[in-house]
Amino acid sequence: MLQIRNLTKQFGALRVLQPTNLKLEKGQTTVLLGPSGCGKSTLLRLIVGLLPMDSGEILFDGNPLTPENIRDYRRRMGYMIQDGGLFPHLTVRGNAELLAKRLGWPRDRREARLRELTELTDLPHEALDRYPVQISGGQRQRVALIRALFMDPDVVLLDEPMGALDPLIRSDLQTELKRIFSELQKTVILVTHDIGEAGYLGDTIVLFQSGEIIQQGSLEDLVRRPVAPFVSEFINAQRSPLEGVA
Amino acid sequence: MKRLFAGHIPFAAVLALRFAIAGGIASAWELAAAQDVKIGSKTFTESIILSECATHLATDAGITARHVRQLGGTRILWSALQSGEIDLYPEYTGTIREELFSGVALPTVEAMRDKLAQSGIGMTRSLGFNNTYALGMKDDTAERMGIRAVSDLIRYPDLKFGFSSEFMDRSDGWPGLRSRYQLPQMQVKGMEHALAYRGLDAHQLDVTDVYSTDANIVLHDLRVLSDDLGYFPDYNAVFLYRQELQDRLPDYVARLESLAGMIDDSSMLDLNQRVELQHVSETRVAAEFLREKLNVDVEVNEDGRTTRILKTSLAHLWLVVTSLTVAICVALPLGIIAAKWPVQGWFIVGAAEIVQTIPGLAMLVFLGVGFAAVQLPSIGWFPVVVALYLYSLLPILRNTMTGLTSVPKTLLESATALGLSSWSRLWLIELPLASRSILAGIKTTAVINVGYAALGGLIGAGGYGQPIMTGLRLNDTGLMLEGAVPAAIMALAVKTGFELLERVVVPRGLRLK
Repeated sequence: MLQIRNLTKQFGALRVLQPTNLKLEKGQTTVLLGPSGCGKSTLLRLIVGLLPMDSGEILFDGNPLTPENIRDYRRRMGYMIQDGGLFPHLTVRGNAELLAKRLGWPRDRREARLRELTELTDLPHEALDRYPVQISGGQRQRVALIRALFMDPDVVLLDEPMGALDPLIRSDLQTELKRIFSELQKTVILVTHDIGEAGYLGDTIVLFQSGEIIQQGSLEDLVRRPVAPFVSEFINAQRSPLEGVA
Repeated sequence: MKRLFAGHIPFAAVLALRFAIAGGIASAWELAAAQDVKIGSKTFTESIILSECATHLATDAGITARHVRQLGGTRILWSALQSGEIDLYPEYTGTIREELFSGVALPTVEAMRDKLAQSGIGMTRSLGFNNTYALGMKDDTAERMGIRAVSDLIRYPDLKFGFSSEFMDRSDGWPGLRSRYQLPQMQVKGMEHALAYRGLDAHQLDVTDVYSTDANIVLHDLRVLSDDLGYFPDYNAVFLYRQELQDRLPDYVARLESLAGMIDDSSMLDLNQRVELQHVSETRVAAEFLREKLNVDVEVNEDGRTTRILKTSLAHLWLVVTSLTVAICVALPLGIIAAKWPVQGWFIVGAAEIVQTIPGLAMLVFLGVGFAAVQLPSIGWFPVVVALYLYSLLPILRNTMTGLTSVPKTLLESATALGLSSWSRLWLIELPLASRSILAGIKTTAVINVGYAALGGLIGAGGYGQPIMTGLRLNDTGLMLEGAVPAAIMALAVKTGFELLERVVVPRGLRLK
């Protein structure tokens, strides 16, 4: 689905992404995992074209993404960020159907799509006419997901979608995301630094450090067959909640 | 998106409606103002009375005439006359000699007439009075001391003199007068003219300078000392008119000539004091004079206070709405450009800031000179609207820029990642998010413009500046309030109007909290 070849990115003197190669399989959920500043978000932003790449290429269904064609490909990608990025001046409905309306979808089609997605994400229907400030944080993330899924994209990119939520709501949403991803069978790329989330949602985990891929595989691969000391360090750094209980 | 359109259409519609109303009225005025003769006057009572006389004579001859009152000083009137924005105005021979053609020897009236003719301007004969500098004393003091002429002052070296600063400085004022008459007085002070009159009343001063037809002579019971050595230059009143008017309306010019020699010093003094001290309007004073002297019967239709206020309000609104509308159309796109391209923005904002530093009066002078050079109107509403427009640019520009640059980066990226084009992103996301700031800029500008538009009183643009200026001239507080109070009300109304508009324009989602 997506193929990344020798992709690099530098901010001034700082190389945030070393030459990187990665293949993302159709229908798979790939988690980009790593500490802050390891380049995982940068990779996501390069794919969506929010940052220009320095060298290398990104192939979407075998076609290289360029500044000229990126806008068309963006419509085949759904992108969602940590705080949802909802537009405060638009209602939930306005946010969700913004692009569809712009592209001239008729009202019935938009409403039908909204109904599907509110059911899928378990968003109460009456929330549609509220403004982002009027709904809860968990609901906002659901709306952001609806907006990302609205055009039925081939690829869904999620940049720490649950980073700003409190643990209970986060766990809820994680459960639902897992269900949604398996229902939709989309190619999903999720950025997180939470190893539990990565293991729960990801088919494949790609662990980054300092702009480089250290290891790629299942959670079990990472735990049982770490290729470098950093892998174990990173995994062990996350405390189990039961650690303090005798 | 629905909100957006629900917002933008009424905004445009409301503005358009206001524009249309004011524009319609103003253009109706302009149409009605397709006059045969346009008459100007300077900013003092005498000039206005004389122009009212000229206006009445036109009306009596069945000619439509418009008197653009208290346009400004000599320079403004002279260039308006040359450019044809007015056809005639009253002037003084001394001014023509000293100011219009200073450095040119014009020993005789014929020489002056020839010189004017070279500029395509004609001059009537003297209307009869000489409004020159003179010295004035309290009549009772002068009587007691037996002083009738300036040379009588030589016998009283202890008299205290208080002169206006202009008279103190001018070479044809005090310095020249002292050496011509060999005046011995040592106690000579320059001061504000109003204070000099008060000093005379309190007998702290004995002599001051006056204009020979000044109503203050009557008010303060002064005796005008005769200039027995003929020191002061003549300031004989005449009408200056475009020679083209002579070709177009020869009979009317002949009627103007018929005023020649009809107004002597004491008649003019009387007319001035009727206006300034008895608060009779210039229009009525002029009509009464013509009836008495020339047996010309003109009907005087003066507007009541309500009609007057309504008319000045509409004229004022026209200045504000026109300038604001144009400024929005220009400054909003410029603000967008400035927000997107910082380098261009630096120049755009810099230019608008420079414009902002020009004082109002200087701006009108610059525009007047510039416009006259390229055949654009240098008087009336046009230069005032241009000045207001220029002053409006910065606040609208700046607020547009601030509004756009403070849209959070994450929202811009979300919009881009959605696949919106930069144009749709601007229109659907950035402008609505910046709408509150943009509207605040427009509101501030509108309120400030309501105040600034009073500048219009300085160059005959109408509006609240007119009664304020007239009130200042006549020291008539009521008249000043007739401009100031409605101006304050209009400013409040504009402010309230914009606050209501905010509910329509600023998307509801941004007003919640």
